[in-house]
Amino acid sequence: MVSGRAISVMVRVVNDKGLHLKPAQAVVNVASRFESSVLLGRDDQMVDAKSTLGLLALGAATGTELLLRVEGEDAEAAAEALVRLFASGFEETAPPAGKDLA
Amino acid sequence: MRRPTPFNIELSGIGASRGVIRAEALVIDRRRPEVPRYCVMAEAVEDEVARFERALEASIEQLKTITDSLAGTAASQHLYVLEAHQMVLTDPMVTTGTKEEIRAEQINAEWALATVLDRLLSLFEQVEDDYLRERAADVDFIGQRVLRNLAGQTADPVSRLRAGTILVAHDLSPADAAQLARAGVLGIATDLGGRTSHSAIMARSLGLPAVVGLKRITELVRDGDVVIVDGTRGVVEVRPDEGRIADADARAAMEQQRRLALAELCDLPAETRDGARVRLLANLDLPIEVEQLQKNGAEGVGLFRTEFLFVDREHAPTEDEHYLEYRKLVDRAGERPVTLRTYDLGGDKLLWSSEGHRDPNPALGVRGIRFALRNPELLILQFKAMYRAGRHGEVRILVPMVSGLKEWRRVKALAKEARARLEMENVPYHPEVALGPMIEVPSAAMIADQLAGESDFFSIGTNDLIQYLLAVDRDNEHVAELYESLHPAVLRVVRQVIDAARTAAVPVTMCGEMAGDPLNALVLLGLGLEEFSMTPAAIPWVKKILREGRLVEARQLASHLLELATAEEVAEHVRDWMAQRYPDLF
Repeated sequence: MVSGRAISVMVRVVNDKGLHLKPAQAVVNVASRFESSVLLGRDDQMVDAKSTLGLLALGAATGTELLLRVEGEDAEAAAEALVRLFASGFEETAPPAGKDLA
Repeated sequence: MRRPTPFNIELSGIGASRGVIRAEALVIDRRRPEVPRYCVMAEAVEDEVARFERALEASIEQLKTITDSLAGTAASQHLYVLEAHQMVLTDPMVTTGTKEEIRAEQINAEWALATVLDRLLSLFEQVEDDYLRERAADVDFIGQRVLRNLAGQTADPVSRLRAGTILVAHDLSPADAAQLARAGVLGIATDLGGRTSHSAIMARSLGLPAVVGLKRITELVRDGDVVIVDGTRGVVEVRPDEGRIADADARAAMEQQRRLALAELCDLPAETRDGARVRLLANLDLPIEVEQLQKNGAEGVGLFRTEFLFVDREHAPTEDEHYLEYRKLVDRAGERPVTLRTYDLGGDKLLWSSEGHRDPNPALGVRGIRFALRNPELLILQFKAMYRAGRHGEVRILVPMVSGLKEWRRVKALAKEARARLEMENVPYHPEVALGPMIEVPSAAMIADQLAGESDFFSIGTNDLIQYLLAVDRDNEHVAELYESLHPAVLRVVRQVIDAARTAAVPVTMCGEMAGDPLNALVLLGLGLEEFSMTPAAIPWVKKILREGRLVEARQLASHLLELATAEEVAEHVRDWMAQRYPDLF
């Protein structure tokens, strides 16, 4: 069972190409650094943000608003990192290291 | 043996590779094996999860084997497809998702996986982005592999391939296509695909008759059914009666005779009876196709498309990657000249490009040289590799979508920059590689005389030229019938471009579909064309027509056509004239 905080926040796809392969992989990379469960999507369709396929299936074009729902011990840090990633247009360079830095 | 009742069903598709063949069908339909559904006892659920994990591991292992076996072969260009498949196999939505489904529903692994895949596929169906929507095919494809492993049939259905059969399939992946040659398959018929799909290209290079885009051939054919694949007419007959079989065998024999007769032309020049000599060149998409030059008597490569170096790749190709591919081609072409065309797509086709906006109307948007001029470093890099390849044989550089002199001068400045950098870096290159614009935008055609003064050669790209001239999108079924390559306006523009080039003593090639249609051979000759570039398999046919024709009659034919008022009149006149002149061919 997930304990800890649950955070919901809207994010916006601002890069040119939309949530394409590379951006989706960037989201998976960041989301996977956290223990919390991370869901992303629209009211009727939420997908696991640690799944590239799920993210691609959202077909989120430039300008799309998506709901980000994070739940778990490190929810706050996870939400913050993902909000930053979306705002930067997925420009954020590769994370310095793996999970332990989170 | 009991003979099944004849069906006499005839399906029309796209003739992807010439030839007629009759044989028994071998149907490979990996799409939907029956998915069993049964409940699993609570205490056996973890065993079921473990079974699923084993099937996943087996699938990953098999993919790895295929990937390794393809390295360094013709299909290695398509390894990215297999990488996408690996991604699906490790995605938590598929892996964790299925395990959760098994546990939650206490259901068998096959059903759980099928449920998860269906859910995922229905999500993808709603996606508007073409590239993303096509990922659904990867998901489906890989899902079927895991399902087969769960069912214990580890073998890929393609390994069932038997020599002496006609392969009937929904679609062929690059991995399948690579195995065809070894298996001794006689012909190919598929539901999906077009003239440029993997299966079509592979079939042509193996010389196997093939019809693609048949939509529902896999539904209508069962293993062992007799089928006739007529790649020349683009028709497949399913379970034909004896009359039709005899007819097909006669066509096959005739085709074979024609091939033999044409093969004899291979080393003879493309010269008319009255001594007019033209050059027949090949359009190629991949370096591996270079063997087609020799086989079909091509005198060079009139168009080498370089898109394969860019599309569906995670990173921009490096200068050396470009160079090595061009070098490979130039080396294998030997003495023959090779025309390399710079990248001709929009940025939305490049996964790594930041310029990924989707043009509402791509044909009129940022593509070809427009994209290249907005990303000059990409073009300079490609130019550098081409100039380097120029040391190893006769190379020409062709630039797509040029619309006017201002653009053309910028292109030439970037080419100069590329040479300057090679000079500075002390890299060996050939400084005098010919540089020419593709004439495919009507504005460029109208000012061909001015462009000619600043170009080393021209290449008329009729596919786009006709599309732009007639304002018809070939792929739009509602207007496709307005796409008439023999429209009087097209004939006039082609003549005008050829005249402008000849006045300036600039060589001119034509590299669109129009140049490879045997019906047009004399028309184009009559309009003054001296270099034809086409799909390699068309070369022997065009050569035969030219060798039996005369320049004098071709000129008369062309000037008569230029007086006709409608495309119908022109097309009809050409058909009648050619049928009368070449009764054994048309």
